[in-house]
Amino acid sequence: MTDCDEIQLLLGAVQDGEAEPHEMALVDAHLDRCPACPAALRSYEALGVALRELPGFPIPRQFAQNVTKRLTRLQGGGRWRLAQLGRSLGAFGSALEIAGVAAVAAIVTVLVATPYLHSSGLRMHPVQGAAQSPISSTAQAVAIQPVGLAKGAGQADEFRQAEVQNVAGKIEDADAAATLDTQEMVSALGGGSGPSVAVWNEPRTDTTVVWIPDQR
Amino acid sequence: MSNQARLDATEAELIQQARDGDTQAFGILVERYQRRVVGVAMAVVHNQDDALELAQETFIRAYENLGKFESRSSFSTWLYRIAANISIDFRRREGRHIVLRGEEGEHELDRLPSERGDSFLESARGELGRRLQRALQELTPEHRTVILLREVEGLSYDEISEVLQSPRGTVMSRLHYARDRLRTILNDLDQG
Repeated sequence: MTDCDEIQLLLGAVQDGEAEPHEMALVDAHLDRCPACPAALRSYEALGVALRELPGFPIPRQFAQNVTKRLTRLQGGGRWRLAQLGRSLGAFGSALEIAGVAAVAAIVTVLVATPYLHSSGLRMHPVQGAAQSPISSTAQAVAIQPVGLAKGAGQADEFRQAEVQNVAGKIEDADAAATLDTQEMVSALGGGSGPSVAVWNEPRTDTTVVWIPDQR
Repeated sequence: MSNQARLDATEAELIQQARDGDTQAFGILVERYQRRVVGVAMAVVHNQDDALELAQETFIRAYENLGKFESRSSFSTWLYRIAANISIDFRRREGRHIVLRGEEGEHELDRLPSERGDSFLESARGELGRRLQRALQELTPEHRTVILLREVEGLSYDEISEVLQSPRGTVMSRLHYARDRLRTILNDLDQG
């Protein structure tokens, strides 16, 4: 690399006032004895002037007003309220987001896995106990326990018929069945001492319901 | 708070008021920085309509994230960084990088403004302006962005480095290349 090549790397920084003092001194000394580099510096300066003279375009007068109107509309929306809630919770905001994502993931997992649970022989049966459940009175909370697979087609039919009757009977007792001990049910699900998630079947709509209590 | 009081408020006060939900206070910040934010977007995407839309998105995003703004950098640099990120993401999604060369390219370039609905090329005053616009089109987006941020928007090397999240050395090297390239293209156009 020649002296001129090295100096021309610095010309732009010199022109922009961004060169270090020793770089400025180096360039000044070179420019005094070199005919080509001063021409290069002048062309950089002219280029800068020409670029700054390129016509800009007018920004619409209503630009700022349009922005504030959009913000006002956003503030009325759920997305904004959620963001505000996150901000006000401060450090808990990110934990809330993580909990929210985990909850959604749990719900999606259960909804996707439910058909496979049925086909693998898992059955639901009601858990009796004292009342503490946020579910509607038409639902019944059940625990999921694996049951032995019926042997042979005939026995499988009887088993299924019994299950249908069982469920039908439980629907009639839905109001009473609504008073179930969630804690007991959840403990029956997966063991452990604290509540994590409750899962039950809503027979009228054939929907699996997941309830996630407040995590403490 | 009255409008006059808002106009007299310092930037820190306006930011705090905006954090508290005062969109009018934020509107004053928008007025102060709109030209520069549009300029940053324009440097990246090189299209007026897109630049205006991206600038609006920038301010919306900034308002939503005011809680995350810390005083380590200046508000303007923080704003420009949002603008650059949004614009770069847009450019990547849209894939709008056109390199036009030679006679065929010139014909194509002349058609572009009316087809795209902007007057970017038409608004260039004088022959030098038009030639310079064509030369800018031949740069890569990265090189065009740094030279416009430096020469047109007047950002320092450190500010450009922070806005584009590129090392200062990379900014300097891209600037040097862009200047050299523009000089060469303009010389070629002169001789062509």
